[in-house]
Amino acid sequence: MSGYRLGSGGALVDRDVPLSFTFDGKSLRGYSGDTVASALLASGIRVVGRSFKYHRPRGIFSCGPEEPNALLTIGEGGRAEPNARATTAELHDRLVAVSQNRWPSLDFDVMAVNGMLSPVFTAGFYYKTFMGPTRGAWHVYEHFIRRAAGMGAASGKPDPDRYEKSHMFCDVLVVGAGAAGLSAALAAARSGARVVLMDENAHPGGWLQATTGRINGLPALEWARATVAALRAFPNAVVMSRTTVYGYYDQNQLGAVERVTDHLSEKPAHLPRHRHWTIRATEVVLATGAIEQPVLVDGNDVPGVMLAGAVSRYAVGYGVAAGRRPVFFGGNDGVWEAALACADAGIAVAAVVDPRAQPPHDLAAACEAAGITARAGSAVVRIAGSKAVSAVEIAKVDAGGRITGQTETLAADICATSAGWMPAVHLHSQAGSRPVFDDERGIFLPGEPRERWRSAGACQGIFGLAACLADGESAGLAAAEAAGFTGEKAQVPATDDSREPAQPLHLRAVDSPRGDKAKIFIDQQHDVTAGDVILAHREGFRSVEHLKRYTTLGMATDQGKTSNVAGLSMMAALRGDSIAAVGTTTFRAPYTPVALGALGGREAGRHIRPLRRTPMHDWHVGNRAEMMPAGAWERPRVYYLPGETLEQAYVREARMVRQSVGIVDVSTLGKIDVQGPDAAAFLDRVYTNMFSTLAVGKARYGLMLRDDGMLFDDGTSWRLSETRYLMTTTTANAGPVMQWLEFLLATEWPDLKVHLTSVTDVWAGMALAGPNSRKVLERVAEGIDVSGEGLPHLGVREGVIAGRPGMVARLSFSGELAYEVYVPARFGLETWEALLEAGREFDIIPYGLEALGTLRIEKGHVAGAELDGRTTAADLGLGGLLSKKKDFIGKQMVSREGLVDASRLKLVGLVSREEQGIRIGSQIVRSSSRESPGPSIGHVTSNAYSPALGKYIALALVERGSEMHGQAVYAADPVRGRHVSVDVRDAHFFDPDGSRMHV
Amino acid sequence: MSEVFPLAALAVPGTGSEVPDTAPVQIAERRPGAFVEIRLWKESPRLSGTIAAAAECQELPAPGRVVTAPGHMLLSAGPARYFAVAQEEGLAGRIAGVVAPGEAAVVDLTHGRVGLRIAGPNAERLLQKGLAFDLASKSFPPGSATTGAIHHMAVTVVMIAEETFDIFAMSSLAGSVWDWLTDSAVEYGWRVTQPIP
Repeated sequence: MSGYRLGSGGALVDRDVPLSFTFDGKSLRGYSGDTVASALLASGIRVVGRSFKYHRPRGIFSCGPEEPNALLTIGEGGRAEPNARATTAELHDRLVAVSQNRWPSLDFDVMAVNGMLSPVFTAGFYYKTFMGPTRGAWHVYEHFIRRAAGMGAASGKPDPDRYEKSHMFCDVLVVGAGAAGLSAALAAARSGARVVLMDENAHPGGWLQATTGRINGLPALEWARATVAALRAFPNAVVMSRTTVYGYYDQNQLGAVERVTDHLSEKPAHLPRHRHWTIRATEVVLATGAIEQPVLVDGNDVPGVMLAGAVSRYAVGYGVAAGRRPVFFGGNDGVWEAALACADAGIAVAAVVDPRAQPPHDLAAACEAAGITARAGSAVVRIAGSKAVSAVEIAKVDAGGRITGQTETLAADICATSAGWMPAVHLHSQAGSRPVFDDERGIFLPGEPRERWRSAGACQGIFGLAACLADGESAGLAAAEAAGFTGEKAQVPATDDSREPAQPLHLRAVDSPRGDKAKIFIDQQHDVTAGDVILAHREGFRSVEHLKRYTTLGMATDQGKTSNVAGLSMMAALRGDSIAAVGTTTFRAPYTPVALGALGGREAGRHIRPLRRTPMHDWHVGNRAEMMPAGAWERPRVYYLPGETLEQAYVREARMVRQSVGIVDVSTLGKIDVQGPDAAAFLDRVYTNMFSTLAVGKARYGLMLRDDGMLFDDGTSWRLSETRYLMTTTTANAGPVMQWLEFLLATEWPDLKVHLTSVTDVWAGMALAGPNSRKVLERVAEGIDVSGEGLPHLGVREGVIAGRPGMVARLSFSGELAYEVYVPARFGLETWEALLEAGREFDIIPYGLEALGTLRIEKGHVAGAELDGRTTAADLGLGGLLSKKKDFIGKQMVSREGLVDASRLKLVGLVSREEQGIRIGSQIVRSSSRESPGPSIGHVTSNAYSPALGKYIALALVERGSEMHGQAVYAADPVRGRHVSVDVRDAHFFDPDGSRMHV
Repeated sequence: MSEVFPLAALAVPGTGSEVPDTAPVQIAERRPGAFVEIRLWKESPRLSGTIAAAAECQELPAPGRVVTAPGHMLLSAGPARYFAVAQEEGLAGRIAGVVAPGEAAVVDLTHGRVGLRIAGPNAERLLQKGLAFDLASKSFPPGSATTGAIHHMAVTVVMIAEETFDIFAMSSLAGSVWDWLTDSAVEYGWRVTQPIP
């Protein structure tokens, strides 16, 4: 125990609202406004997790999204979220947090033995161990390696929370509500522009939360709150906290996630947990701040080693002392300021260690006055301790971090280090601007914008408070003006920040008195050590991209926010180059991890995709139909009678159609209104056969080819007038056909006066099929002569059906006498029921897709399974429909060599010689041997039990199929264990001369 | 049994959900007597005037806009393409009767569309969950119309007035549109009101 809650202070917490929570089952307390990390520190918790590879004890390192170590599983059951950063997770009452990657306990982790094997588990371990002759060993060890490595695990339970998605539009988006961001948002809002300010934290202010300075006479944090209140008073400004802008995409589109209920102990059912925002902003101001970088020291992963700014932020913002004897170390003024802020908060700071020979006098004097020991020209060269810092060793060093004097040991429980601040250029980089390294200042700066953004404040290397406020004001105003608004410069808020910082020393690493035995971790989340970088250099992985992939540096969930620069710096030193020469990797979205639920939104479970339903849908469901998907539609598969199997149901339905009459819902067939003076000419071009010669009141079956000559779709088109047709398409292809025809009209034939409209939903369609279908229709048709002469095969009539206006076409898919009846959709259910009533004396039955398929297979009619994009009209026996008198889409390609090859697969019928079905997808082989079936000569496309034949039948595509009739082959389905003996025959199994439909 | 509107079983007046201290979104099924698509092959003031008059409106709307008259609405649906919505039936026939076949195509889509009126202070926020264009009145003022997509479903969107929108989608998608709408409205609450012709 060394961290504790200070007796006062902590502008972010409300001491009047205590909260209870548990960590690894232990009950602890915190306050409203705490993060889990601040509450853990205040409770004296030092070790919060075990490291990824070596299972070393790790403590809280930072106070923000850059945290590499304090990753916990937060929540219970389906709400348990692994790898949550304790430094950003807000505390709420009854929060449950559990440490990760340890067994049996955090204090005693058996896998810590890995640490002793660290010389073995170096960079490239897997490449070296499991490649070449020992490759097979991976399969042996994979299970154990995966169990030993990794961090938290998903609960495996359904997520009970809602996630939503929404769109947002604004003139100016400001990312980050620190000093610069607040200032920018205010300036833009004054112009009247629609401004959105997004910040990832619960409270505005950014690093103002750790600042003891004043703005406009107010404590900095109070100024931040007042500014947010002022912004919210603008009708044109929106301030969103707990919202992380994680991705920057093309054309100023950004992605953000708003955490709506994570901070609540009771999650209201009507609110989403996270809301994903897709933002389209005219202009963007990136005020993303900067991330403090650590100094690499021997022992730098011992719990208690922290970033200097984090230690002061916990003290000032949360009223938490991270330890009782902190030592601050670094070559910049911020280290002194952090130490003084902690001392001011009441923490007994042990020392400030600055490698600069001449640290700033004013800060040194202030420290002396506060009773803080100062060590100039020195560095912390070793940190002692295992589960907690126990002491630090200090020595004189030169500007390169090399030890030049004796070491001195200071008792300490916190070692707070800082190598300065690195601009957070992640979003800039995502927007296509590779960061540029400023050698003089030792920082990356944003590259040239390729999208409409500008930077403000620390993210472009402007660090002073007054400078950030002024820079934000300018950026906000410029953004508003670029978005077309006029603003006026306002007075920049006054600060008490008058001192000029002294020249920093960019010391990122120091030598250890232990020499090569030093244990220095560069990437703490991935356990990448200085030794790994040296190894990568020695083995030739010297480019930044190779370094990253070979060592996994910066590839953890923190994306190397506190390690990339240190790694680059080290590689640069090893190469004898500058960091700029070594280069930097490109940051990719997301800036911080995003829950998959937020990306999916409500498009999960039954909301996964929209469903189309026919006007008779509810009737089907209410009459024991099993519904099945057909494209985007739901269609009846069969209507079960009690106790029936699927096969019994569809065989009964198909048999009744052949014997008497059945009715099937065909509303799903694609229907396109083709209208205009050139409609006939248009259809002649898109169908393989002629439609301009079709008489009004008649329908014709047509084939469409793709422009490569392959079959595209089939269907009938009905001529309703000289200038109007109703085209029908297959259910699944309705959309693609419409798109294709629109494309042709827009690009190939813009001169044609033809207009296409999808009227699929306008009509409810139902097909009456069976020898008694005419008798049924006669009872409901008014003003339509449905006799054989009055309505001949392929005839179309408009009239009144069951009291409603509609159309009847004599078409047959089943091979029986059949009619398609269309009425306006809202009358569909009424007409359906009227037809059923009219057919009652003929024992009419509704039938589903299975029976529909059975009837068409018996007739050898092709459908989507045969029109699979690889077949030609000739393959399916439809070559006669290719007109020789006219041109049509695909004609030029249909006779190319590959499409007329005699060995192509051709449509045939199969009849099972056994009492078992022929599975779709079975391969056609000649051998009777299941074990050695030989080469495939084709495959099964459709299957059924044929009540007409009393046998299992199928359609198949077989090499030289027409020459195979009469031969016995096998339908091999080794995956599902079938090898069925079948006879090959003509595909027209039933009523081949079509006499049943011509009555 | 008679005419069955696509949302008859779902948009039952008086049903809905509530969220304390939040204005519920008002939802009503729109049941116009006619929804007609008109495509002009050759625009001319005479033809435009003839069609507008047949639709009982003063003029055809400008791109992205709506023209209204009591019981009638004409929306721009793309270049030389319009939708006419009317409370009474038979509009398609009346419009088709005043144009020659070579002048315009007229298609009756009345039974092919489901319509919804969505109103209230949260209506814009609700629709913005699905629509990827800016619904703010500065970009999409009252009297605007366009076509967008909600959850992969094409919809025609009309801003009738501040905080009041009409959407029209394919009638086969009525259940999915309803499902999306009422699910998305959970955080505000929603209330079904009487159908609007």
